[in-house]
Amino acid sequence: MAQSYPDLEDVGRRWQRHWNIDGLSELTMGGLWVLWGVAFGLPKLLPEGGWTKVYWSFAPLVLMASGAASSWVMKRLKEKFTYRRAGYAAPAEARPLVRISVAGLAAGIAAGVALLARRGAPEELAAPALALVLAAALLVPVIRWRLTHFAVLSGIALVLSFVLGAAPLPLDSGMIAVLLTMGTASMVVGWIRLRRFLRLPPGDAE
Amino acid sequence: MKPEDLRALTEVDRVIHEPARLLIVALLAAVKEADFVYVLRESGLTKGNLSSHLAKLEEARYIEVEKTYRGKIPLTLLRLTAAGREAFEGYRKRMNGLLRQ
Repeated sequence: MAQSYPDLEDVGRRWQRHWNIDGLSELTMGGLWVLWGVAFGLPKLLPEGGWTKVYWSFAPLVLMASGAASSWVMKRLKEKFTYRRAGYAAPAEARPLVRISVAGLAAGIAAGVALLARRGAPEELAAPALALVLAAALLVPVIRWRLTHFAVLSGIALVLSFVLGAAPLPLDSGMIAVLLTMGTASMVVGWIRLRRFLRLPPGDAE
Repeated sequence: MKPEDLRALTEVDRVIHEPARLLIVALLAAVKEADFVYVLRESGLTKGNLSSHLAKLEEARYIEVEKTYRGKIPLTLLRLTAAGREAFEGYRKRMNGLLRQ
């Protein structure tokens, strides 16, 4: 049987689709956001004074470690659920230009936020702005890798941005609302995709 | 098409030019390494067909094949070599150049 020539651009994007085939990245990312939301929200439930100080003496360490821990958890979950069914592929190292661009974009956003804060922009704008940035960031996988389910999360972030813009909350409550809403949404999307993925029969290992 | 373009067409790397092998090399070019199951699934080839193309690519020293274990399960890891990556990039450039004319 004659085989047609592959679309090399599309083949180059398959790895990203494979990485997101199981819903684990959305589940882990959502879990991380919920953890951060709870970590920032918990002190509100503690009595003022000593307990809050004790809490903030160790919470930052937990928050810093949570990023590395989520990578470790995802690796273990991928080994347990994904590789037997869909195979294993390790990401290629990002090109220096890509790394510099991402760092530059992050620095630009941080500088923009700092400038707005310095000029006395109302702090209630921070949460809707964060939701808007998330909505834009979640469109990247939709456009670049055709991972259309991220459009759902992007849409939720956009709606959240409008809601928080129309009914502003204080800075900390607004941030907690963004983290908990987006984290829960991401976990739900991830869970649905993981359940669908687990219905696939395990692939035959060679 | 000019005669030199026709000559360039005949000088295309035959190992990579075969569609199934081009697909395998393109899949491996996008990652650091991958296992047999990943390439099997993404290429849509049969096990036998894939093994035979992998043997040809390995013979041309375009890929490295490492037989190992994940726990007790045998695992075949595949990696594009520097020569394979160079050949793939060269093939892409050549074909893009020819198609643009």
